[in-house]
Amino acid sequence: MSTPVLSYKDIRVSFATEFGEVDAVKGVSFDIASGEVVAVVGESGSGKSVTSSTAMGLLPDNATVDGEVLLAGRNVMKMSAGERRRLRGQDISMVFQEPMTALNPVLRVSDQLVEALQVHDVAFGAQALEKAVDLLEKVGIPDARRRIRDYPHQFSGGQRQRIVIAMAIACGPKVIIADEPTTALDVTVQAEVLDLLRRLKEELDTGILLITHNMGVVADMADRVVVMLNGEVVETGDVQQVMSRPQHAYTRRLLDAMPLLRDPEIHVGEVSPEPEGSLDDVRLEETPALEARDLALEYKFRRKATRVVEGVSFTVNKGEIMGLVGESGSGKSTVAKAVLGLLDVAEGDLLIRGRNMPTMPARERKTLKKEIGVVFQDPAASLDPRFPIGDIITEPMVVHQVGTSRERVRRAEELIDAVRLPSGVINRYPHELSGGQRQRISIARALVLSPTLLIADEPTSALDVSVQAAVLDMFRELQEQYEFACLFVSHDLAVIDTLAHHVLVMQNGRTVEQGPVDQVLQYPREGYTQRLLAAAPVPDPVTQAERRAARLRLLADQGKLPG
Amino acid sequence: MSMNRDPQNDPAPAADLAEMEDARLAQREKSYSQGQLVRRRFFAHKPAVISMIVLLSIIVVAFTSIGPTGEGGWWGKSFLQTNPVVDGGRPTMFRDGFLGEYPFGQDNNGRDYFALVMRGAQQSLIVAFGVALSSTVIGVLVGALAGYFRGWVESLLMRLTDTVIVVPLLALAAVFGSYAQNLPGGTLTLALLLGCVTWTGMARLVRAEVLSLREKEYVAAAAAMGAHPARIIVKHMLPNSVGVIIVNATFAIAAAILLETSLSFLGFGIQPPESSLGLLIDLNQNAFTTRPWLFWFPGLFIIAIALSVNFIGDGLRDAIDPRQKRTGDKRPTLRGVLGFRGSATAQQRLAARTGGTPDDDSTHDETLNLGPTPNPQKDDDR
Amino acid sequence: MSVLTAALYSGLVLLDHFMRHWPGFLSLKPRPISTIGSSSPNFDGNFWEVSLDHGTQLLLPTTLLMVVSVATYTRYTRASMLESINQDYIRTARAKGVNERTVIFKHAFRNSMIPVTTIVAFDFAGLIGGSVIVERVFGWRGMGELFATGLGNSDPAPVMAFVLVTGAAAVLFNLIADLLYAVLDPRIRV
Repeated sequence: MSTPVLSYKDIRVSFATEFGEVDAVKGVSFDIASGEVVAVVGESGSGKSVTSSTAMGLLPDNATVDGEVLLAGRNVMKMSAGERRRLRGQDISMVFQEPMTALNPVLRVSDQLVEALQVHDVAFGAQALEKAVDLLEKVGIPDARRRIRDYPHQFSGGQRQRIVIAMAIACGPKVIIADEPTTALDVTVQAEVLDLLRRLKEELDTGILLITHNMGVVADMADRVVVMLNGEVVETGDVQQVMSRPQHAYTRRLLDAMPLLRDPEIHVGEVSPEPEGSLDDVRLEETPALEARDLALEYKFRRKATRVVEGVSFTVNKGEIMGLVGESGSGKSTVAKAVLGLLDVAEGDLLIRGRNMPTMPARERKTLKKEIGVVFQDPAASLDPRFPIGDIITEPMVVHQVGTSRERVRRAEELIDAVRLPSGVINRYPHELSGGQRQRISIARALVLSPTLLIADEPTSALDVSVQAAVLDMFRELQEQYEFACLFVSHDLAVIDTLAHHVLVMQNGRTVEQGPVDQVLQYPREGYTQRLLAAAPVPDPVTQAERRAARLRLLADQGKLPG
Repeated sequence: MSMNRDPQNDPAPAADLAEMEDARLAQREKSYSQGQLVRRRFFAHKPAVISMIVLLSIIVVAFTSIGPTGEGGWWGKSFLQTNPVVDGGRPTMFRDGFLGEYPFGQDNNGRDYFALVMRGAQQSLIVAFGVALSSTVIGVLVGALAGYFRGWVESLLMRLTDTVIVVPLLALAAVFGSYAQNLPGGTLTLALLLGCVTWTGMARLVRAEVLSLREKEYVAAAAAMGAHPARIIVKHMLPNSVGVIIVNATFAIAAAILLETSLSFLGFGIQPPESSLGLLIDLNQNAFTTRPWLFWFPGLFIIAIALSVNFIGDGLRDAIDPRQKRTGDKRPTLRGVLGFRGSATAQQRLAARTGGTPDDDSTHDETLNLGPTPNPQKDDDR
Repeated sequence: MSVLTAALYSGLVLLDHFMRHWPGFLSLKPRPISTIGSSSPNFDGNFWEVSLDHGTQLLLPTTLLMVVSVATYTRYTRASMLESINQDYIRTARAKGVNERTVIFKHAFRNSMIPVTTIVAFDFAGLIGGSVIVERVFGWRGMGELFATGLGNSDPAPVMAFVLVTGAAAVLFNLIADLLYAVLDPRIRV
């Protein structure tokens, strides 16, 4: 291995808060060589971002940092503020998680790129602009010369992340710190951005410090892995070795917790086998819990209606989980909203236990809502912070005037037990619970009236992998126990694959493909489904390399290869 | 299916984030509601607490010294009764014992100025609280309805609000004030009428708050379970915007004191022989160079009341601090890291902190303040 | 550029003329800044001296109104700055190695001005309201005084006129604020 360009030596970070010192990082050391990708993996609170940020000197004022950060042999910690500022952008640069907010909304992209060049005396004026156009072309923004005059909001999320990357490589840094660069992006865009980072790394021979929680991304990108837990490194080593023979229990747990996508068989041009005897035939005698026929939905904004969903039909039977998959803007959450009655149906029928919602009088609709439970995505916002947990869980009973107050309390205790939380939780407030615990309370609330239908809108997307695994396990058990029908909305194909019986793939408000999970995700027939499946990374470097190559072949075959 | 984890057989249960959190939850004994946390933070805010004491003592002194009706308090002199002018009406405070006969002096007609100022403070406080109360009620109602129902309800209510905003506040208040002179009920009527012109700010704020709360998932969940709009507004939206409402009601009190003062100064507020702080300044503005105390004492009380109310508002805002509500569950960003996202299990922290710097209580608090992020740091060191 | 130079230069010429007439003005009015009225009674002088008299009479009321507004805007701007300084793009700018001055003025300040413009426009109505008091204090005979005496005498016409004029002005300023908003925030424009 060559000499490291960036090395962390015994980094300790603590924060002075209004309630005393908090140690975030407790003695972490690792190196990054040029042209090498080192992935730092860990869940929230592991201190992975904090550690990496010490090299940039961008930690807030209440942080105390100990230890050495050597950048090309020079100790960053001993430099003056001015020296460190000159270092940033020139020798070491950063790519952030949220592309939507990382660019200044009131400045043109050209201004922001040129600024990066001028600050470090790389180029000035027209020359800098010329160079900025080159950079945009390099990161794959089409029509760069015209679009450089645009404002950030005129670009899509993936394109914005490319612009941030362009800014990061503007001065040819020795190291790029990429802090969750693809977490906020769709899978297909994620795969493209990772491709871009890989290509740039090879062209520029920079080291990349990749901070992520996603083992699939690690397998896809990294040469070496550092696993962090609670501010300490628990395991470090070659990607192959860590991923296939993890030494520490936590690494194993992390790998196991990641929902796996079974390897699909993608044959372009070939006709996949037809589904034999679909599941629907079996249960024909029973009314389906939820049925949509040619559903069309629209949002109204200033009296102008925009169609976001068109011609979607599906059936969810009792005791069945139906997965609704798609990327952002596919309209999958909109469908969930309509089922919940939060959005009026523009056209088509939406039948809940055989009764059509759009044509129903308001009073009956309210009684029908007893049959529907809901779990939303954001654990921070899904529970009213002013309600104690017990009141939150029993709220549906209060709304529908079910039971006496004693019965309600008993029911709440029952459900808290069912979601495996300590019974004392009933008198606590949501802010005392963690994200995973709050999602479990959401599930308990959804089940309190024993609904026949449960709508789950990305219930685990905001959770850490190991927490997600626990919540999903519990969800599956409860589903088997209570036998509710479930519409499970997710962007994560792996989650759908492990959980759902049927799946509906959506794109731009239309159905792409639907059927039993075993058929659609194993033998995808539509190009979009195939691309979606091919883009999802798996936590094994060898398989992932094969999948990457297969994906590029697939894209080439479908004529969708970027650039 | 391919989910191959098995929590029961794993050798290191401590390594699982979900289990760690559950264990920690079971350990914690004491539970604080949002309101309790706010109270703790408010009482840690020194200027606010001092202001609270100042304001309370002004209220107590103003209402007990000459009695709520202007007679029968411990001071013994009425604000209407004229006495022979002693020593050119100069204040006797600190010259003739501690207070003397006329601590704040006497006005032209020989009325006791202390009694007048106390009566003025009473009236100003009644107006201030009355205005704050009525404007808050109207503003919250308009804002909540506009924000929740959108559509034509919103258009109608917000156009109404805009119309009221467009006219200068003081002009509108002056019109209402001069109208109130012909109505029975005196000061309280004036206060309620003034509330009808100062509700706009509150309406806009509450509407904005309700609009943002509409997007919250617990509101969507309540709507999805079939809850009546009234229930959603009263049970979910208003309690969650109570911070904004309280803070702005406080500032409305301060603004109302000044509004009353300005109106009385212009002659459209409280009319003589009744007294108010603004009126006293208006009546005695020509005496500014010759007998400045007639000007200073009411001025001093106006400033003391307005300032202390403002400080209380500041304290409340800091205590409720909307910035501490962190949205979403992101992985630590530089901001999110601000000490709230550190990481250590209880044992590790105890081991790491051999010096034992913070006291027991403070570490306990840390677990309570951290907003809705999943927080591995939440633990109890006891 | 040439317009700027012309404006700057004529401004300087004007200033020079006023300075030349200052001693003459002082001899006519030994205490230049007084508190009552919009012009000194029985003041007689040439054009420059009369203008100077008007200017000095304006000084105190404007300062007073200004001080009040400055306090409010300071608070609003502070709150707005605090909001924008915590945004992600500020971190991006710092990560580029931009110095702190540029971070504050180019990146944070411009963004923080966006909400402040709306408040300034809404405050305009309040400013006219405030002038009612100021006119009473400094003994000017302006629109505010017209309104106050009209109301005092139960004469509806001046009151209506005042409300109409100030209302129209407030509407106009809101329009200006909306235009400014579009200039400052490209997300509205394109």
